[in-house]
Amino acid sequence: MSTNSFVLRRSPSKRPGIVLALALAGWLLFAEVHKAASQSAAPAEVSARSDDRAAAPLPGLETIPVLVGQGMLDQAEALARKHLDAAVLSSDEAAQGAVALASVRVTKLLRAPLDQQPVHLEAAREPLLRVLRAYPDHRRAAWLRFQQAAIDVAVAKRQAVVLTVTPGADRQRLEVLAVLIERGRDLQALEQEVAEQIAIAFEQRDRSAWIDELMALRNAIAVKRVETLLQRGELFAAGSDDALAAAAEAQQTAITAMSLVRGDPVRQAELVRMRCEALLRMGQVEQAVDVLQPLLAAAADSTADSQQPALAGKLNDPTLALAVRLAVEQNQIPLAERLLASHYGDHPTEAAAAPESDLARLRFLIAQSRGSTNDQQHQQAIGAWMEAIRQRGGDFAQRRAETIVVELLGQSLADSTDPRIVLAKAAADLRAGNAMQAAEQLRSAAHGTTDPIVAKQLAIAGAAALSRAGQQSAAAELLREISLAHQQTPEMAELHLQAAVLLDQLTRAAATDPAAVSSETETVDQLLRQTLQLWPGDPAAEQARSWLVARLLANGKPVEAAIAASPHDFSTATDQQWGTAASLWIQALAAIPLVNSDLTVDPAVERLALQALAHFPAQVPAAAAGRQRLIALFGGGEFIAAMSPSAIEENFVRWLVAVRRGEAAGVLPIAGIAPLIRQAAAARLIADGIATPSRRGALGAAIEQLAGDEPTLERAVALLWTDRWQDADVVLDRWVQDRGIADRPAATMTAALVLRHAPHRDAKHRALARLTAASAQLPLGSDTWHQSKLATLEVLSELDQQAEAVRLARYILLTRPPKDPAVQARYQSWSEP
Amino acid sequence: MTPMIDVVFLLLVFFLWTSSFEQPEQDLSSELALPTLPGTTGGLEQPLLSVFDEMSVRLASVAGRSTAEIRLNEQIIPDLSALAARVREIAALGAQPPVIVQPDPEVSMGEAIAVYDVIRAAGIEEVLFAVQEQ
Repeated sequence: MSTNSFVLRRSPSKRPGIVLALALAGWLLFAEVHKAASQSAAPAEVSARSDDRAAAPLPGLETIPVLVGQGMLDQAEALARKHLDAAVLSSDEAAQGAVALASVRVTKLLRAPLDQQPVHLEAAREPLLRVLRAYPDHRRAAWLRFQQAAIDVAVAKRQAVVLTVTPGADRQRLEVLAVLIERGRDLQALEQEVAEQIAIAFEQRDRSAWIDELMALRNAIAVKRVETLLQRGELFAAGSDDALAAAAEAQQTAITAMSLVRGDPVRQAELVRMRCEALLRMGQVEQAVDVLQPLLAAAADSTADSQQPALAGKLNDPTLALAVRLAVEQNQIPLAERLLASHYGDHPTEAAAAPESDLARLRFLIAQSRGSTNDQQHQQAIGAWMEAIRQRGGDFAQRRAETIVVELLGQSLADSTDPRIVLAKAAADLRAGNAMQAAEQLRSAAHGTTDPIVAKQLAIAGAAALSRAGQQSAAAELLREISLAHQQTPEMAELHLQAAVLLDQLTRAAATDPAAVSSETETVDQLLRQTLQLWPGDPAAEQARSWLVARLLANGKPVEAAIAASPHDFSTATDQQWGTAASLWIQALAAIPLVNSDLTVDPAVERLALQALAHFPAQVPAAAAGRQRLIALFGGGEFIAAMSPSAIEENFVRWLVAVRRGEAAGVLPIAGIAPLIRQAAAARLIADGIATPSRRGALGAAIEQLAGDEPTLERAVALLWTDRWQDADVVLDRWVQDRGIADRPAATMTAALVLRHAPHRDAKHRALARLTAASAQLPLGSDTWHQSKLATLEVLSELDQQAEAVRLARYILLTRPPKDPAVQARYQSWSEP
Repeated sequence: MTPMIDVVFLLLVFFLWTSSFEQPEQDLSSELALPTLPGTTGGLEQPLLSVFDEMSVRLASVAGRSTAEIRLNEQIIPDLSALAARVREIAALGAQPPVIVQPDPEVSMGEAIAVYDVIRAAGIEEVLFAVQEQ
């Protein structure tokens, strides 16, 4: 027999049935589902063929398959529903509409996520039930019942496919098996019923189209029965008695059915293929070859026979896949290659979609690798084709391919170096619950490869496996290691960031141990800083920056947050980044009181302001706005002196700089200025006034504009410095009353400390009274109480009551001497006349 | 006419019934220093307070000691004479702070009165006894 023709030879030796059964695994289950989901001509596997229909289609009904083919399922459903609703339920048109609507809905069902299936299943059955309930003896009842059974079989097939790639799940397996057995019985009964109707029609010598329609229905039922039996066999362990029995029954039913459908070449071809499949499962490869032979021969010279449309051109996808598998089973690798070439040509990845043939080609590549010495090259080819399957058929096709690879490669998987094969093995291990085994393989492979993209894929899969095994810390470490090993690759920034995400999740989960949480929090922050440092221009780095800033702010570290937000690469930093950094620095600096309650200036703010300004270089134009704001609000006098208000764009900043420089500033442009900024500006002006008492009048007027009418210390200071101490006293009273009861003693003291700065004796007497009242309310002998007493001594001195101050100092040393030596020394100095 | 002797006798009985031989109560201050509730004082509406804050003298019962331990503002004072010296020193400053004596429940009334006397004798005029809020 020529090897150049598509003819299978008998195998010289019989292969064990178990190998055949294994080879079958993962093939049949998806066939019909994919057909239903992908073929544009048929809306669903269960859709009624034109010759099954009761009568000629209504106008518009024939467009439903076209709409489905274009993915317009909602429109197709609406059209079918319209037809059904418009028809009288007892009519043939109603049956047509119901079948069409059920077909569209089952297509939606097959494309829906698995967890939504029950909802869609009821919707698919509904139109059929509506007609059957209204008219149980409907003229087309047999067609409707056939459609009902076909829907259940299609759903069961899809569930069976899922179960094939999901180890365990015995309960679901039994449920699907029960459905298939039940529907098999229904179909058998229905076939019998239709056969009786045909016999009656013949007896009545009815030669109308009615007999043709009944015979077409019987043929469809016969094919569906074989399909159901084959599907049932898939649910049993390959090679088991049950699986063999199901295959034998399918084979026998197929033979019977073939005798019925002699005049229907399309159904005949389907039955031949299914019989061949059954034989293959039974281990009868040679007989399978014999059965398939006529189909292949017909395909070879199909161009000469235009009466066989299904076989025209070349074999359809399931038949081609079956032929390839048989060739592989017989170890006829060159033949398998030629069969595949008829569809795939020289560019397999560009060939038309053929889900079953794609998997058959994978089997062919695996078989080809067995006889080769160049194992690595073949493994790469297998890996590349697996990737192609994923791209052509999606994740589910990839899952089936992985199952085949794991099944056929067996032990040689352990030595595989191709990352895609390693991924397949690991995925199978994961599904089987061996998460740690999968993780170790992936970790090892990720470290072993020099290809950064492949390393990234392996690391992600490895981390997922480790996470599933409860090893989040190890997962994060794997991602970190791989990203650092390929740190020149931009894509690794994302991986590095993911390590931080995993570690953060771990920290949140283990929130019961504060020490551990603190340590892990530091590590997450370090990882984020590292991402920023190593991949500064990457989008992942920006995500890391935002996250780090948010974390630091949440953990009460505003200065560190501002440092993290400050651009490192001045040339690429955007205006938004400069703006964010400036805002965070202002927030951090404003959080530290520049002026203490006793109206002394804290130098820490100016020191921190210098640190902030280092992040906003004067030579970077984009940083100018932030720098000007920082200087205006927190900068020392030397920075202000060096600024030119006319060069400042922002009105508020220009106003503030002018005030600080002692120039005519005009009215404060108050709109849109945040309270925090106004408060910081007021504090800055108070600090200036403390440093330069001669300017207090002008500064007080400016502070009054900033402070507004609310009773604040800033407003009180503004009133004091503009020579209105009584008004200031009223504001201070309101300010104290606005505090909580527990805070009022300290607030009273603060109010006194502010008031004592007024250059009036009455104001100082008032301050003395406030201090005395505060001392009476504060815990006796506390630090705050001593602070109040020392302030009292100072006020007494300012009021020229030196003797009283001496007496008070001595009295305190005698009755409540402070523990702090420094404070004690201050009392001592006051106690000496 | 009623005999004069009867009148004299009745007057004698009247005086005997109405006289007291105890030490006059008004010599011992009957004022009590009630505890202050937080937040109930403050503000300048209160009478002007002295810059010399009140002092407390606590008489604490200590296990193993026959007499109470004297604590002036929680500073331990060895004995009554030392307390007297310290209070005299304070009074010499011209300060007249209120002093609150706080005897523990186990401390005898005699000891509390002795401390009271010492403080008064040292020159402090306003001496109060602390009571617990019911």
